[in-house]
Amino acid sequence: MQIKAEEISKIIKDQIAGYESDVDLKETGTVLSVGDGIARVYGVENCQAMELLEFPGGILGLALNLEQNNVGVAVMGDVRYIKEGDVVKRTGRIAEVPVGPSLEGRVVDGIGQPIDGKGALEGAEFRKMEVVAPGVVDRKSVHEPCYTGYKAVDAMTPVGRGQRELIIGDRQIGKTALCVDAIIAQKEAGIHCIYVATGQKKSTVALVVEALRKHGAMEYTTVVAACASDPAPMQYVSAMVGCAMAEYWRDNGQHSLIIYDDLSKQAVSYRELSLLLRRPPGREAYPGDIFYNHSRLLERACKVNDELGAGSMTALPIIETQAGDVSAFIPTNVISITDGQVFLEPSLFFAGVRPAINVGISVSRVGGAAQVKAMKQVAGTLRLDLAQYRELAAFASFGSGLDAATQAQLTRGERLVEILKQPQYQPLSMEKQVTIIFAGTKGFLDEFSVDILADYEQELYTFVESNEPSIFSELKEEEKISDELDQKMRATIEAFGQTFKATKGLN
Amino acid sequence: MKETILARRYAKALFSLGKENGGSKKYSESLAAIAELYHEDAILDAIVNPLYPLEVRQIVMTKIGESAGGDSILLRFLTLLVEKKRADILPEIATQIKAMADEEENICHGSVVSAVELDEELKGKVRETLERITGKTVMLETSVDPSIIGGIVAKVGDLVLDGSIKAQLHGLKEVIKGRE
Repeated sequence: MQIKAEEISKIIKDQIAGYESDVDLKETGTVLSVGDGIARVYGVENCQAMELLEFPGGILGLALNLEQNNVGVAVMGDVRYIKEGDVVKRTGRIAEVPVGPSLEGRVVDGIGQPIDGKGALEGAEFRKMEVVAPGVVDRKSVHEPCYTGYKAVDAMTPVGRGQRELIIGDRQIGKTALCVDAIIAQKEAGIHCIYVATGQKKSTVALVVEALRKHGAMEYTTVVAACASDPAPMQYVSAMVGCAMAEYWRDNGQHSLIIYDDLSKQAVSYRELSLLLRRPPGREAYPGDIFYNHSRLLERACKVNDELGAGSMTALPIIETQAGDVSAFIPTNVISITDGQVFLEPSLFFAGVRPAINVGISVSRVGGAAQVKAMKQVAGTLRLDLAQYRELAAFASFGSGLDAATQAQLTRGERLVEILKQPQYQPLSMEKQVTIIFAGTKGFLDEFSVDILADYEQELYTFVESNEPSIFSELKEEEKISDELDQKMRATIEAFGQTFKATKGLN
Repeated sequence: MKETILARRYAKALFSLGKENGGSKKYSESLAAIAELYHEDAILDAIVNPLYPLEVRQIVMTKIGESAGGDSILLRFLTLLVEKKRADILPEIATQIKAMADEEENICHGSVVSAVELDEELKGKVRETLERITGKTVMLETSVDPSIIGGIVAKVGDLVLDGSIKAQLHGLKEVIKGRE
C-alpha cells in the first residue's frame, strides 16, 4: 500500500479547519486517595450517581458512592496512572454504551469499546447502561419459542422469546457449550445475539469467538468481553453493557438473545467493588443489594407488547455452582429470579449423556406457551416416559426377573435418553427434533440397540430429506402433527427402519 | 474524613454564636490566623501534646487567642477545644467557618491563571464574567504561569473555565488522533 504524504497533510488540514475551539467549562474535583480500582474524589459537588468522571489521560470512572465529603469512584481502567491530587472532571453523562447494528460481529470490552482491531464503531447510538425495566402494561406474555437447538431443552424445558432461563451447573460440564450452540441455532431465526463473558479467561473467549465465526454466527452476534484480567468495575458493568445492547433490539421491534457467562463471577466482582467502597458485607460477604443487582438486570429481559413493536429479549444467565451446591447464596437468588432452570450434572456428563441435562429437576415456568403444537404433541409423553424410566431403572438395578411391561418401559427409556444426546456445534431445527422424538416416543427405536442410535438419527434426517421432504416442510409451516401427517411420519420412519436394518446387516 | 464532620459541628456552633453578636467574620479571620500558627511544630506540640498538663495548654491557647484579637467567646471556644482534646482539628474548623462566612455573605473565591500579568481592566472583566456565572461576589486571586502559552484558566470552587492555548492544543491533538 502506498501512502502519499500529501493526502495525510490534507486530512490533518481538514481536521484542523474543522476543529472548533471553545472554552472548556468543567466542574472538577481532586483525587484524595486511589487504590484497588477505587478512587475517592473530593469536590465534584453536583456529581450524579452512575455519572462518568474523567481522570487525567482520558481514563473514565463511574461514580458509585456519593458521600458527604467525597465521591467513591470505580475506575474503568488502569489506576496506576492516577495520583493523589489529580484533577477529575465531570462529564455530565450518566454511564452510556454504544448500541446498534454497527456492533454486530464485533468484540467489545466491558464498557463497549471495540477490542477486535476492526476500527471504531461507525454510527453507533448511545444508550444508558442502567435503565428501569419495562413496566407491567408494556409487556405481553411469552408466546413464541426461542429454539436453543438442543432436543432436551426445546422438548422439555422450552425457552420462549422474552424468557429468562438459567443454565446452572458445575465447572467444565458444558454450560458455555450449550449457550454457544444456542447462538448458532439462531442463524435462520433472525434473533440478534449478545454473548457477555464476565471474568472468563481470554483464551476461552477467543475460542468462543472463533467457534462462532467458524459456524457463521458472528454476523449477528456481539461479544462483550470483560475478562479475568480486567478491573472489577468493568466486569461488574459488562452485564449491564450487554443488556443495553440487547435492549436496543427489543425496543426496535426485533428479537435478541443475551447470554451472561457467568453471573456468579459478576456477583464476585460486585462484591469486590462493594467491599472496597466499604459497603457493609452480608451473607457470604456479598453486599445487601446483590439480589437487586441481579433482579433488575434480568427483569430487563422481556417480551414487549404490540404497541411497542412486539420485540423481545431472551436471557440465558449462567451460574457456576461449587460441587453441585445449588443452595449457596447466588444460585438460590438467581433461581428465584429466573423463569426456570436447566440443570447440568457432572455425573451425567461423565456417563456420556451430553448435554448433561438433568431433566428431572430442570424446569421452565413458561412451559408449553413457548412450544409449537407439534413439539407439545411429541414432548408431552416424553417427559412422562423418562420419569417412569428413572423410577424403574433404580429398582431394576436390584434384581432380575422383570415382567414384560417393565422390560418394555426400560427399553423405551434407554432409547429416549440416547436420542436426547447431541454433539456440540450441531443445533437442530424444530422439525428435525420433532421427527426424532416422534420416532422415540412412538416406539420405532425399541428394536434397535442403543449404540447405533446416533447413526440412526443422522441417517433418518437424510432419508426424510431425500424421500419425504414434505414432512419437514409441513412441520415447519403447520407447526402441528395432523392425523394425516402422523400417518405419513409413521410410514416413513417405518420404511427407513427397514432400510437402516438392511444397511447395518441386522436382518 | 470523620474529622470534617466533627469540624463542621464545632464551626457551626461558633458561627451561630457569632451571627448573634455580629462577630462571625472576625472569628473566621482569627481562627484562620491561629490555623497558620499550626504549621509550626513547636506551637502545635504545646497545644496538642497530652504530656503537658491541660491547664498549661489552655493558658497557651488563651494567650494565642488574645494575640489573635479574640473576644471572650472565642477564648472560651478555644479553651473548650483544648479541654475536649479537639485542638488538633482547629485548622479544619477554620476552613469550615470560612466557608460558612462566605456562604453567608454570598462570596466565593476564585483564581485566574494567565500566561502574562493581567491589567486591572481585564481582571475586572474576568470577575464580572465569573460573577455572572456563579451569581455570587467573586474574590479573585491571580497568578502567572507561562506554560499555558496564552488565554486564561479561571477557577471558582469546583468550576473550571479553561480557555488556555495549551488546553486547545491538547483538544486539537485528541481530535486528530481520533477515538482510537
